[in-house]
Amino acid sequence: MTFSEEEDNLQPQESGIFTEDDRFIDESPTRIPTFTLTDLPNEITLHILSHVPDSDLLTLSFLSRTLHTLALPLYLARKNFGPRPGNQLVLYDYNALDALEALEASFLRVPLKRLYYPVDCAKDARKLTKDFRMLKELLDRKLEVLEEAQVDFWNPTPATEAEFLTGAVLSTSAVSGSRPSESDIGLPEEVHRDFLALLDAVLARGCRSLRISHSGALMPAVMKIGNDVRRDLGGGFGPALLRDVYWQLRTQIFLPLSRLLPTGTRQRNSLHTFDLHSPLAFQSSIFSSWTLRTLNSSAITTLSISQQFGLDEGFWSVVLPCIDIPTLTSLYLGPSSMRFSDLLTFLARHDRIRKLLLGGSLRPSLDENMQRFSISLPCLEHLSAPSHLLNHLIGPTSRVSAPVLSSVTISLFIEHNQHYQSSMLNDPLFYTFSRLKALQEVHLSLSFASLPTSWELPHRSRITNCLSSTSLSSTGSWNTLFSSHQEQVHDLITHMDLELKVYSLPLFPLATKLQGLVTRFPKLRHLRITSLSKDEERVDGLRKDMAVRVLLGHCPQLDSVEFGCPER
Amino acid sequence: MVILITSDNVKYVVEKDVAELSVLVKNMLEDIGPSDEPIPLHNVTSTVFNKVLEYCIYHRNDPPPSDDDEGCASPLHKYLASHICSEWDQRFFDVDQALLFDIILAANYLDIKTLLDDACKAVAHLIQGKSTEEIRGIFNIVNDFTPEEEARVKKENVSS
Repeated sequence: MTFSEEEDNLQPQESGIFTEDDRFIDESPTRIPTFTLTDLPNEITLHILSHVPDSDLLTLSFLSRTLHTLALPLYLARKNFGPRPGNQLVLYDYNALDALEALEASFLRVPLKRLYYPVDCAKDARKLTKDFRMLKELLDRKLEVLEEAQVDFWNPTPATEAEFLTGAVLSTSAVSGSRPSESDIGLPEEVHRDFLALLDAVLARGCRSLRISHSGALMPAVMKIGNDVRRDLGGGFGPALLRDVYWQLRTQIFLPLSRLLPTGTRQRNSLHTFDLHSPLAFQSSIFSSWTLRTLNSSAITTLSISQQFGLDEGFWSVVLPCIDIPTLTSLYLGPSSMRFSDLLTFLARHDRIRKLLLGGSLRPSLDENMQRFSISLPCLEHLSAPSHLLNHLIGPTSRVSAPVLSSVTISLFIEHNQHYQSSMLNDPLFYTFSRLKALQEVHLSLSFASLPTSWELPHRSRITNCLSSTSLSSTGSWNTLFSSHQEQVHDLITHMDLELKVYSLPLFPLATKLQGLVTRFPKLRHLRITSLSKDEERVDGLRKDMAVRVLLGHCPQLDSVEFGCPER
Repeated sequence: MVILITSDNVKYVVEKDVAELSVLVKNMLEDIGPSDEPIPLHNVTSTVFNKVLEYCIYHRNDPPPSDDDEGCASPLHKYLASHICSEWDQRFFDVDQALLFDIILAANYLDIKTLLDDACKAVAHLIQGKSTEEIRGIFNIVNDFTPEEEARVKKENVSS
């Protein structure tokens, strides 16, 4: 019997204990207790620690090195440090101070890849200053690498205003007395300096990507936000003519001159992606000048400007001429109200742009001035825009020259309860068709506001018979033209990005229903489907594979189908 | 009935359902099939096994622990489960520290999840609300920080 042999080999005393590697420790009764918490196997110690409350966990981490390395990461994880992949620190208000204090006391060298910092604007100014200084201190001394940072302003509009907006306050008389002034929007004025010092520290850590955004109600009150900037930049003076002369001078002479300065000053930081996704990047004089200085002094290659509610076209015609980024290669413009002519002037100065993405919801005001501009985009390879902007940029009357343009994405937004119709592409792009046909690739970015019950109008015959009674009379004549035309825009589409603004995808019904839509695009080879679901893993890989197979089976012309997450 | 032999060669005759609370024993029984051969427990002494057995007999009729901690119990349920110990359990774990750690190691070796959980909670309970020095005394933890780190610890403790 095997066990009897072993029992002869080992004659343990009762007080003896085995450690995890089966060594026998002889325990003499005088040294009480030699075997203790730190001698347990790590997984058991962690098991014990998982039952220990936060505050005691922090106490434990100052007892010994072993406990420090076990308890502190657990504590930080509970305070939202690094629980997600990629060493991310998320500084919510409830955990910010705890996490910062623990990091401060930590002996571990903490690699931090991504910082997500929701800044609660409604918080007390002194507390905000304390947070900013502490985080700055940590960035300067403790944290190893920082690649990405996002600051998100929470509660940007004061409570009274937010309540007013959401209808929580019904009587207007109650509000009129306490209507907030412009200085109440965003962060309290007195903390701006510390906050910007923090942002500078972020950039000094070698941060490559910075995003400024906001969450929450940010409505009419914000209208005043750009006023400081406009005043500072001199946009508020004189009659319009004088202003024009001033800006002409500035853009034609000053900026080209500033380009002659040694380029070394531009590489002070490693920032190459800058996302301005909130008007709060311009919330005060010093904030705006920080934003403009950063734009003008970094070697930024990718810039996106989006969610700029409340900043009117006047603001942009003052600010855009002050932005000069010679290194810029891709530009994304989301919702903002720039004048088209201002945008074109801006583009003309940035002739290295290879990729230009104009969001579907960008609504630039089109003025007659734009016909004046004849601009050249010698490096532009890819252009993405809704059809009305495509007409202006590459249509027959356009004076924009883009000699190396090889691919275009047409973005099309289908509203709730609407169907896709081929006239949505053909009608607005009628005059641009020949230009599109000459390109190597035409992509379609089709975005549905809701999950449609069917993807197209019920009658298939309508596709070929454009003159059917349901077509709009105003587009009737164009349709007539098209029916004699051999090819239509949808015949050119090779890639489609299908974006569904829903949080969960019914994969199988989707896969079978999509067939009808896909067959409408004879040259379609690559289909990419995205939804609002941010968690990619939530979509079960196996089910995804099967849905892909169903789609590929139904639509033989497709080469690839993928499911992805939204990029922005 | 199952025959178990501890490392100090003490023989125990245990009812099958009690013995099978240990996943280790359960798997062994499945492997050897029906037989009267005693099962050796190399890493457990009889002193510790007495305690383990006492626990298993008392908890033999408890519902088995679920593998899926996330899905089944509501958060409140889990909170209560982790914070409220029965009076019996409290008395059961009121032992000297060496034995308590022995119980943890034995529970880990025998793979008795509920016992391991409860014993870990008992240790966590000892830590709860104590100061650094108190915990150092209770668990005899050696301070192995360098002087600079030590200075930092002091500073941190003053500020908190």
